[in-house]
Amino acid sequence: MASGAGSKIAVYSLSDLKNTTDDALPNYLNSLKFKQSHYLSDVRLALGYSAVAIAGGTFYFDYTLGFEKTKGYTLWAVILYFILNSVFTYWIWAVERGTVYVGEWRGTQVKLQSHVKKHTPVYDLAVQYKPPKASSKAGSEWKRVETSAPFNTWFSADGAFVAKRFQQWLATEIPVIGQADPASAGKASNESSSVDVQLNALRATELAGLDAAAHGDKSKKSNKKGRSPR
Amino acid sequence: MLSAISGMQPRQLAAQVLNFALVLSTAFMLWKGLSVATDSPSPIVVVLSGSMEPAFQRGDLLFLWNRARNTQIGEVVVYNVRGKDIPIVHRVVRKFGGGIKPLRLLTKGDNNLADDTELYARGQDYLDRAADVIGSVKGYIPFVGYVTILISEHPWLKTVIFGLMGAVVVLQRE
Amino acid sequence: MHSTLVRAQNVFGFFTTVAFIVGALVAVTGYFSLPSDGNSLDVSVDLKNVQVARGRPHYYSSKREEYAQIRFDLDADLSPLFTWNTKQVFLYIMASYPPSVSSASRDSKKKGSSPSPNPGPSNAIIYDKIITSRDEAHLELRNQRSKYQITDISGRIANRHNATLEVAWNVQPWVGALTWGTSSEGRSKAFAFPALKSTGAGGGGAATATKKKNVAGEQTMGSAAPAA
Repeated sequence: MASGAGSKIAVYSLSDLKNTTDDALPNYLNSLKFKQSHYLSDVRLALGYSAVAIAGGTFYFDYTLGFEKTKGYTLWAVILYFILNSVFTYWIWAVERGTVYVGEWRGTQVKLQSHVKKHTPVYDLAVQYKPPKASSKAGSEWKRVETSAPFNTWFSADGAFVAKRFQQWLATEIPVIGQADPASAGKASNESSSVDVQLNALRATELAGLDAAAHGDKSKKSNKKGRSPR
Repeated sequence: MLSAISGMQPRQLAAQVLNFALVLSTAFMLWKGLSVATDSPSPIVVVLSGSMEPAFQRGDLLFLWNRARNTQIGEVVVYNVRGKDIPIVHRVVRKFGGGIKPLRLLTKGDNNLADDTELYARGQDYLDRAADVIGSVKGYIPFVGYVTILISEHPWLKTVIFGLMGAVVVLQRE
Repeated sequence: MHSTLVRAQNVFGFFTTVAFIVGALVAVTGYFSLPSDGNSLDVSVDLKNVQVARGRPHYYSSKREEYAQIRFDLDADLSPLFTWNTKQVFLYIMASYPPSVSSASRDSKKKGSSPSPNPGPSNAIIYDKIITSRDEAHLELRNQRSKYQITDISGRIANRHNATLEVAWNVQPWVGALTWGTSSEGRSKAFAFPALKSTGAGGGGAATATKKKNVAGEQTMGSAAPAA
């Protein structure tokens, strides 16, 4: 469910954690003046509702005309319904693939996909972005950034979602968002509270490619790849 | 609960409602698919009376097949009394006709002393296989249909269950 | 598990899955344990006596129709039909005879690919028994009176030829598919329904052409009706 600021969720429910995070992402990006594209969800809704419409029509005609008269049409309606349903399922599984946001900001197009591995409280985010054509280049390609963080980065122990931490994480990890929200990106590296020390440590291990977050590995690596603009 | 709904954006709400609608639609279309496959308007029925005991008890679920129009004596058929919407599940005890002549059947419940002549419409002595019978029992699962008996005897249960289902599917995001 | 509700849901879901699988296993194994060929069962039926008299379907009906009362011998051993999935066996004996060829062709629902244009044999159950356990599966009936007095749909059953008694059964499982069976040995020799017994005042004097010995006057047709 979409939770407002301050409302708590069950900390043990992975789906709640993921959904709350997924809901916060578009809110945050749109507040940064990202323009969201609803293409994917529109197609999904169209597919789904047309299947429902077929079912509704079948129900109506069966109810008013009876079984014998509508037998032939019902057969085709059932076949068509399950074809549409398969397409719908395929759409969600193969095309959407966990996409939570598609949009653009100042010419850069972005696609964000989130994923949570079963029984692991880690949020995996894959971002593809395509900067606008620079005058010198022939065209620009999609770049891909993958990052993860455990949910306790932006969830307190009793289940409250801390938007600021989430935004800081996003701004530091993803170049486009960092450009759009330099305040959050900058803040994260300047503060030195103990929570942020841990945050930095975790980020460091992730940047180095180790998935040691869940195992509490806190070895600091000094060679951060300088991707995010400061 | 309402605040959770109002917090959603329209597309999100539409997606949630769609989930619920898809659950209902898929269940309905599966039922219709089974109905067309078995060629019976009601391919699964619940036993309502004890007239076929000890074979069938109240609450048992029966699976019908209506494509074998050449019903044999000894089969258990489900038929509608002409003019009424009451389906009855009884065994065929007499069979006449067939081929180009209409197949006429007389039925009787195992647990009844008399045959079904009194149950048929006025002036009707035999069932017409093509017109009255909606299927022949081919398979059976005990007990599981008892829920529908409860619902039909306490109609408010239906609203309660429906409402619960709706609330759960719309508000949960599994 | 993050809440009692989810725990309850999971337990219930697991329960139904297990119940479903067990039920499916019982149904499948039970079905394949049944004898595949009905002829392997030991059944035989013999006609002992048949009489036809006038009667009414119900005490309040004004129709007068001919009813046949049959006496028979039955030997049956149905124990192979009792598997762990057998709830009951419904044994029935039917009289089967070819229908009369009537010139009045009625409203025929001619289906495009019907197997045969001729109507099949007419059948009527004269006796049935519900057997619920293997111990009761051995039947030996002598000169058993039929439970039901039968008539033809036309109301006339006297003088019909080429009739036989056949034994058949219906196995009702605890869960799964219902099966029917019959045995080629469970068929009596062909017989004919005799002419109508005259209801003359002279008890037993009328020379009615009954095939077998006349059992002491059983004029019970009239009001008793098939509601045995």
